[in-house]
Amino acid sequence: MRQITLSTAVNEAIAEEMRRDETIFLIGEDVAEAGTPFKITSGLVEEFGTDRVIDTPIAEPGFMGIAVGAAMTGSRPIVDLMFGDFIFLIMDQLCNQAAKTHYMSGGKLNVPLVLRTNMGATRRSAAQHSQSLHAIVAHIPGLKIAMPSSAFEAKGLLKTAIRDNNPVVIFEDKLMYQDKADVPEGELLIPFGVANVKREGSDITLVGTSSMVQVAEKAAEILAAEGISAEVIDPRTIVPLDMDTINASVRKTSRCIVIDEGHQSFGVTSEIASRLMEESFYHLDGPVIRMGAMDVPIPFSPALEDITVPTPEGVAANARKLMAGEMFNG
Amino acid sequence: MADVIMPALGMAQDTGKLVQWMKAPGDAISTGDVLFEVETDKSVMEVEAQADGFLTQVSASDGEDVPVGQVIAVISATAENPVAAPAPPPVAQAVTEVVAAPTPTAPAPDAVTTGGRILASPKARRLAAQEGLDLGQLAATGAPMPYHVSDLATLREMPAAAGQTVVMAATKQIMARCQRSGSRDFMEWMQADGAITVTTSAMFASFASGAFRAATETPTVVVQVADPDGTDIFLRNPDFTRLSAPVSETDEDATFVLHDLSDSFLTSLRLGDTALPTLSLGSDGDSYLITFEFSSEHMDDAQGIAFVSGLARRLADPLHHLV
Amino acid sequence: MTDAKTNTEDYLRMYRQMVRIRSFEDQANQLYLSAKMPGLTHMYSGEEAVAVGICEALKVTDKITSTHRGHGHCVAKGADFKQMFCELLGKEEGYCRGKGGSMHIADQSNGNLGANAIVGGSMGIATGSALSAKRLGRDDVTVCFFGDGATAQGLLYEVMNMAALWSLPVIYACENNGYSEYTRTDEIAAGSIVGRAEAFGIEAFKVDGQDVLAVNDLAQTLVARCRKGEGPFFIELETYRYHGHHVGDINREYYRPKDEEKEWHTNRDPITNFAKWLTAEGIVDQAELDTIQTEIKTDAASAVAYALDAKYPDVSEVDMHVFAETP
Repeated sequence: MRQITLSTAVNEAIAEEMRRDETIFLIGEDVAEAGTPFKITSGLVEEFGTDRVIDTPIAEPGFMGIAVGAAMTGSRPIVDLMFGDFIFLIMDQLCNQAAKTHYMSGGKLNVPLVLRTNMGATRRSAAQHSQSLHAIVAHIPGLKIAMPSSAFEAKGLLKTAIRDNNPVVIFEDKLMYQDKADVPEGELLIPFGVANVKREGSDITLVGTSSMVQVAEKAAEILAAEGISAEVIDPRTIVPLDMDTINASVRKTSRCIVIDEGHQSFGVTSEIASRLMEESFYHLDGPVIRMGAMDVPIPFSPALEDITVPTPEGVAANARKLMAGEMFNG
Repeated sequence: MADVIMPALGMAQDTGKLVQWMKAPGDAISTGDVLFEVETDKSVMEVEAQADGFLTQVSASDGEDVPVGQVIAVISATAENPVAAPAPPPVAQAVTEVVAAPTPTAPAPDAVTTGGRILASPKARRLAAQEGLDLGQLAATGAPMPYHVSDLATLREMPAAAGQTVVMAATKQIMARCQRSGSRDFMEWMQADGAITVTTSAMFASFASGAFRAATETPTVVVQVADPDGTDIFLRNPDFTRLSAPVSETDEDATFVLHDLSDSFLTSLRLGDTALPTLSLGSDGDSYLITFEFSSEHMDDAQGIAFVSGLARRLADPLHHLV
Repeated sequence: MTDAKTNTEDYLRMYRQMVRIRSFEDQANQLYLSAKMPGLTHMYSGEEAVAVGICEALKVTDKITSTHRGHGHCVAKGADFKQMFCELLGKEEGYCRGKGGSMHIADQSNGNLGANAIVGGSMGIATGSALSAKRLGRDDVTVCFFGDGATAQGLLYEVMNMAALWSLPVIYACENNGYSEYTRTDEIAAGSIVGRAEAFGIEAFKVDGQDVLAVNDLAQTLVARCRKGEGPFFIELETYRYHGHHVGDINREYYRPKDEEKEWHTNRDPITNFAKWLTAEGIVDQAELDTIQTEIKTDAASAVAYALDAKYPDVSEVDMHVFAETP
């Protein structure tokens, strides 16, 4: 199968869906001729014109609000938010308007929009361009959250998101835009709420999101060499969350580490660990370990930034501790 | 005619305090006149009349807390009936939800009453409970906590503690009958010939111990002689001791339990409780009845049969045993 | 219907709609004060000519976005009393099955995209609705109602900028009732209100919001120009809210003098003044107007009675409509 970058996969998904459905348009800062700073949407304006690939002023709340109104009235906008950190600017439009409209209207109004944005540290961008803020919006009922872990997922999840009748937020890891993966040409739809077992194992379950799936896979390689068999699970969407697959795996292995690049406290790792505690408690042979970004603003200095996010070595070390039955923090 | 109501002015407000009436019953009222003051959310507000007329049927007094929505007066076209008949039960209270007081419950007994808490994973605890294993036994050995599933393997190797509930394999029974005359003659002979008093229980323990050893090749046999009225006696290898000498007692775990029913109305015990192999010996006329309960965890069937057969032979012909 | 209102039928319809709003609000006020209505609510009484003058210039397919003080817009855009009162009381038959309440009534069937409890929260939605109409080749116009207080929100300037850049068919209708919650507007708004829109090159107008004919004439013109692609537009409507910021705000002399309230009630009431004009012009006589008033009041009272008796949604609906179905 051909290999394409995650960036190309996103571009391809948007183009395919825009060809299929006239009501779809793309809106955001520098999405047209500039193709965004990451060059993800390059070429789209040439095919679809400025009527459907709409450059906006630097006014995130404004174009987000416009997208919500357009979605309520027959359009299916794809909003490009240049950095995930800017999600704080659009919180009212996303969380008070888009997320609640269907419910507040008793099911009369729909908001079928996709908000594409990014996440991920270690790009030396410092505290306001490096955050992974998916847990904050996952907290709000009415929003679906997808986190592609490769070019394959990026295409399949985005196409599914565009066809969903709800507001969907997609967090792409900006460090993975040039990563290549096998991606089929043409139609590729990945259903929401269906986790992917990336690697089977019997001793410990590693649940990873987005780029942390790669971290988990590398950790599994390290552990395999030591005779520890790790299972790696990619939930693909955190809302909805496929707990069935995660529970089944943990009931088999009895041990689990959850890895996510959001800050560790009050985040995705905490949520999954809590649900495992509630739903698979009597199958756990050790505590569920959370591994998120450190609870510090992301620092600029490479010497500091690199230690704020989970690494394969760190995951493997915690896995060894779990296998040995050692206590954590006690 | 217009009702004067205690208005709901704040969010989540249930009652309003009528600070004071600014008009008296019977007063002429114009729309916009301040009728009374009400205190809500720590602020006092003036409530204006919504109609022209006379203030009548005043049913709330200064300083009173009134449910919001309740009618507290009427502005009527005439000044008749300025004071209300006894106030009707407040309507707003009718919808107040009655929340049942929580049923007092006895304080839960402290789950950890036996000294130190045992640290173990939820899965290890669950499997231990399912298999009837006692994590406390592991703790008693000083094995480092917390325990995980892998530690259960060690626990499975350890002998079950006394009094521990063990999930049982199926109980098997073997019964036999033999003449009492041989034993009776033997005891009389011992008494007459050697002035040795042999008790039935001592004889039973000795013969059973010997038969058990022969059938199972067990090096050390501890017989737990059950005493329904007192403390069970644990006898170590009673068949190694002459019947005339006292048998050494022991605190070792029993190999099997012996119930001597010969001096009772009971003939046989089949209680199905085979934590240990259990032997009961009853008398029935000129016969002894031998009942033996055991499970496959104790011995195989051939061993059980050999044991009971050997015991019956010994009881029928004690001299044979002594030889 | 949207041709010039030069016949009796159209005048009476505007009169009727204003009376309907006033009657609705009187009932809502009583429901709230008598503790029969949960939550809180904001009265539109006094501002009827704004909603009616504008909405009478719109088609059913045209869209509006509304505010926390939204009952008037909802009635003016064609909503039904029963479903509105049911919504105010949280009943199953309400427009939003009781999930929205006073501040979130949406009436999709009449193009009402919903009231919004965030001040200024719907400006993006209205502008997006106009973008949809333009992109998808519909001739819909969207009117964004908001108050003078909302002009302080930054979102307005972001979306007016884009609406002007992209020539969107949207009319920003600023209901200037003189007060931003509990504060005089001149204390929170520097400079000119219309000047804010003019800065983006948007044609802006100021009109007497108590004069339903003046409002309607202007709205007719601007809606027609929007359909021709000449939008966006901005209107500042000078008006007055008779009640406080919300129903419980009854002692308000610290920010608003009673004399001022009396002046608007007595001399600038939109319904009274329109009735005077209708009778003076000989279009209808007072008896006919009285009949209309009585009919509508009866209508409102029976809708309230119906809503009070209507059933609450089943508790099983609590987690329904969190997400829309996707076929």
